[in-house]
Amino acid sequence: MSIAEVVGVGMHPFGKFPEKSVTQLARDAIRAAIEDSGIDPRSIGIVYVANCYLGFFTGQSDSVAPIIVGRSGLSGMPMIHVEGGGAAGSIAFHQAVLAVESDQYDVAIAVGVEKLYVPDNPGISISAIATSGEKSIATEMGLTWIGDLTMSARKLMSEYGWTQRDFAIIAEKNRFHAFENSDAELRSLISVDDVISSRVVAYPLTRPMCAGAAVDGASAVVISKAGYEVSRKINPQVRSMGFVGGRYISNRAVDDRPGMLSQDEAGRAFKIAYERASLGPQDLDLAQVHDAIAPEELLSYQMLGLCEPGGEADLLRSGATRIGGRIPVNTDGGLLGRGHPIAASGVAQIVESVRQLRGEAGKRQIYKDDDELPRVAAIQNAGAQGGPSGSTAVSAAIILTT
Amino acid sequence: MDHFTLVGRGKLVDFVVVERGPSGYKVPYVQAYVKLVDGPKIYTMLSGVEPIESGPKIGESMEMIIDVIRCEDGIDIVGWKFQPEAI
Repeated sequence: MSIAEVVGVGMHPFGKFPEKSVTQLARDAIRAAIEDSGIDPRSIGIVYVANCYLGFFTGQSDSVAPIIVGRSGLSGMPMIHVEGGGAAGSIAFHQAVLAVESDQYDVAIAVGVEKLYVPDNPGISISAIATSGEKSIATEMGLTWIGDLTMSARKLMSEYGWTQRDFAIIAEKNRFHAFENSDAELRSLISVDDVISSRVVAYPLTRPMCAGAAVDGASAVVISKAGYEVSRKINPQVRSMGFVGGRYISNRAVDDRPGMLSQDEAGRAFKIAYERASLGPQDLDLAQVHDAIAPEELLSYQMLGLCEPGGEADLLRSGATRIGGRIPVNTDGGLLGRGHPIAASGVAQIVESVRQLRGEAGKRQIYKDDDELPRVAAIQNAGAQGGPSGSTAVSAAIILTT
Repeated sequence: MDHFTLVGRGKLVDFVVVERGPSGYKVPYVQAYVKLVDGPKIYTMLSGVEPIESGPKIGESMEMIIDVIRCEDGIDIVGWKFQPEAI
């Protein structure tokens, strides 16, 4: 078995791009990643394309991968379509890593791309992301991601002592991080007080505490076998160790479900990822986590083992998870700042981690002991295909090291 | 499999007022879970309460009604909802 290395990363900025097709978004990210890797495009053996909603918006529900990447200049290799809600990009990455680790391919690409913004029709984006959950009588009668997540978050507030202000600090922090990220959707600073006084989406969550559904973007990474000749030797290669775990539990009675925000799946995924990497939470230098709503980032501190259950708010309030702190989280702005074009998010988490590990994150760059580059990055991602109240169906735990 | 007739009453155990919804829903509206006197907990939209944070009361006795859920292509889609029993 070979070791997989991330040798190139690229993005199409996240935001609203009604004038561009899904193919154009993907093409820009793929070309940027290939150029960054310095690899000969002819050496690419297989392409994994994460996308969730092309079928919803256009009716094109099959042949998705070749249609999306066929005009990027790539041809003559397997092109595999991957779905999985918010975790789709992580699944594509995981598959690309497996393709290389198994010695079947020397070079693989994972692409995440999504187009969700429709001018003057915010409801259609919400309808689209609803299709990532199991279609049930509840979702047909108005149960939404944001509604069920919020009900779950309200329970955790009383269990762990989280406050609305903590959620506002998360939003302020991640927007602060996104401010220096030219690939981010939201590049304006916002104060904690302004987050709290923003329009309520579902109490106690206000608009800046929730990733918007109407956003487009693409991200891509090139993965190669360790030792495979690449022309770009300037920066340390980034090695990947990861695990994607899933469990489908929405056939449980509603009474038995753990609620949408449940840490057991991600905690289990991280236990395996840490074991594979022979590392633990104390070794992490930074993390990218799934903050579709701000409470999810707080819960991730517990999943990653950064604190004991109930210690999340103290960790946040101490500033440890801000750039400049002990363990910066969501250094590119996370879903709240960088944006959350669903299938593109998981690959974007890899892109940011690699940029940080290589020392290429510009004004967002973090350092250990003031002058050393970070060495270990953790990535947590979730895709809740079980649907509202089905709890998380896919939990991704990925550890990258140099 | 056996069929049961539910009595259609229960207590409100969880709710959230949402200000944005999928296409066809009139916002704001209330998503909730009601614990039925028959045993199970079910998802429901609420009716007969102000769609504001202080509107519904956790623990309140609720009863089932049939009401409009959403509008699709100009047609009203109906389903179950719960409202406070006192109404």
